Amino acid sequence: MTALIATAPHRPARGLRPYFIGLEIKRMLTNVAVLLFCFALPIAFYLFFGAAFGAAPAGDGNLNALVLAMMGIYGSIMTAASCAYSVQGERLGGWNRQLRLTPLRPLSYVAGKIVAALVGAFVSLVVLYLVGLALRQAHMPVSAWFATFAIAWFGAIGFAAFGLFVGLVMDRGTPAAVVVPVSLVCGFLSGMFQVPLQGQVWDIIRDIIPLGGLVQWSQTTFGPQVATSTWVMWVNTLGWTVVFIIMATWAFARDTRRV
Amino acid sequence: MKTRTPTDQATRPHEVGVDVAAVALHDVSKMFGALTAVDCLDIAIRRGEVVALLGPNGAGKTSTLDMIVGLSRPTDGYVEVLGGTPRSSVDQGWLTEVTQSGGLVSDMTVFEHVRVMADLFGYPAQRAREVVAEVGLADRASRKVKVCSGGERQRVKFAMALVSTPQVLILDEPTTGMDVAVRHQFWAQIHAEAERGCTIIFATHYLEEADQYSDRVIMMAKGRVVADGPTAQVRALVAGEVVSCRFADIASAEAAVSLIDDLADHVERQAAGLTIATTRSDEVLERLIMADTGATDFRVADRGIEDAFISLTEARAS
Repeated sequence: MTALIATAPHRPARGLRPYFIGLEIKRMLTNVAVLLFCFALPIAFYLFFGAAFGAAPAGDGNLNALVLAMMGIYGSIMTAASCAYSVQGERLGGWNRQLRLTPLRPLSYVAGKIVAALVGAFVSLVVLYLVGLALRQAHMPVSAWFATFAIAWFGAIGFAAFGLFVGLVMDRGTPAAVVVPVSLVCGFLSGMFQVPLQGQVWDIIRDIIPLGGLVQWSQTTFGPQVATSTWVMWVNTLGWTVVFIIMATWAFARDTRRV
Repeated sequence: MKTRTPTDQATRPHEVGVDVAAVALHDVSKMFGALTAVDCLDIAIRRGEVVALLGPNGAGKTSTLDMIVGLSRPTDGYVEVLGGTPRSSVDQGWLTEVTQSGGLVSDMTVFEHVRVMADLFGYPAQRAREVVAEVGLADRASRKVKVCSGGERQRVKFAMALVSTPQVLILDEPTTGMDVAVRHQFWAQIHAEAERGCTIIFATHYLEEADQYSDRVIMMAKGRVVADGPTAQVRALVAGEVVSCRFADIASAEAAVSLIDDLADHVERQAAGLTIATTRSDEVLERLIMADTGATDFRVADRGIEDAFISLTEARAS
């Protein structure tokens, strides 16, 4: 049998597709439940903790500003990780199988979801920081306003991937039951909620767990000195981001669920 | 048999010769641990064929289809689609699948579903609009699928599968859970695709469906092909009745076999007993009784498809 197949293919559609990403962003921003929960909660926490800690000085600013920065991280990662909730439904509904039978590659899928999560996280940060500016209680150098914002926003990348992973591997139960506790525990241990955990063991844990790097980066922008060396923070922040992306990509690639 | 020439595919920028199989399985096996789901399948499906994969649950139909679309890898052997790998055909949009029930996202509109598929295959929005109109959903394009009827959802899935002008369409138990009207409409659409020259491979456990809608039936049981041929021929294997009876000894059973051999599709021997699959049970009974073969304990039963599968599998195994 002579194979006559010619190699003149339809133009390949690889990488990030504009409509796919646009649609993901639209769906992210129209998910009312997520918006309410992920946007409103950090603001409520900021108002509560910010008032509680008041104007006590911290580094080049005050504790109120530090709470703002921390709640920025919290809102950003929670909004990003919320993609887990919709992804589980999509997967169980057979949508992911549909996507797997297109030129879309697992890494592109993950990237698309991360871009959408970054948009959601950006909106949540803008809202929170506008509240912070309007209340005029947070004091930190101008550079720190931008730096803490950027650090919190960066955190959305890894936690979007983490949320994706959870949404892609959980067949039963709500992904929130994993995403929220994991984020909160990491948040507490990394010092996000201003709970002082002092001692060598806590320091080591802080350097290892997800969020530990982000929180300490944010604190170093103006706040009290952080003992951890910079390279540990780099490794922690970038390391977890890469690990979560690999986990999410793997989870999408192995999934062929049909309904 | 519907065949087509490469020139029929005006929309295709490439040419694949008609002598290249649409789908070829080369000694394909799939193991899940110790379980053999698919056992050394060697099948070539010509372009333009409408093929039914018929078999009971657990026959390995779904595993076979998953390997054809490239979502699962054979443990042994390999799959070729249009002369290349399944993945390369998927990437080109030549090989698509219509899923049984899922594949839609409730908060997305009809158009968004089709548009995102078009986008992923590198087609412009215009292509999505065309296909949405083709399946008759133009006036419902901006509806969310959660408010669509079952028939409308089916058409959305169809539109998603058609957006890349596939040459091979895979359907796994496509009509399970469909009501009659939707099912009818569904097969009408499939036939339109077949007319266009698209190769259709569908899995089903309904003989009737295989009979009505395919040119060729590949019957599977326990991971193997137990029958493969034009639909009418395979139908004869599973249609009809099963006559069973007993004899005094093996010799008289053998004598009876030679007597009714021309009427039987398949004869199974159990010691001094016979199980005769036939479409002419009246004549079989008549001959066995009239010829005084000493046969007793007659039983005549409808030949259910499950039975047919089992006897065919055992016939192969022995």
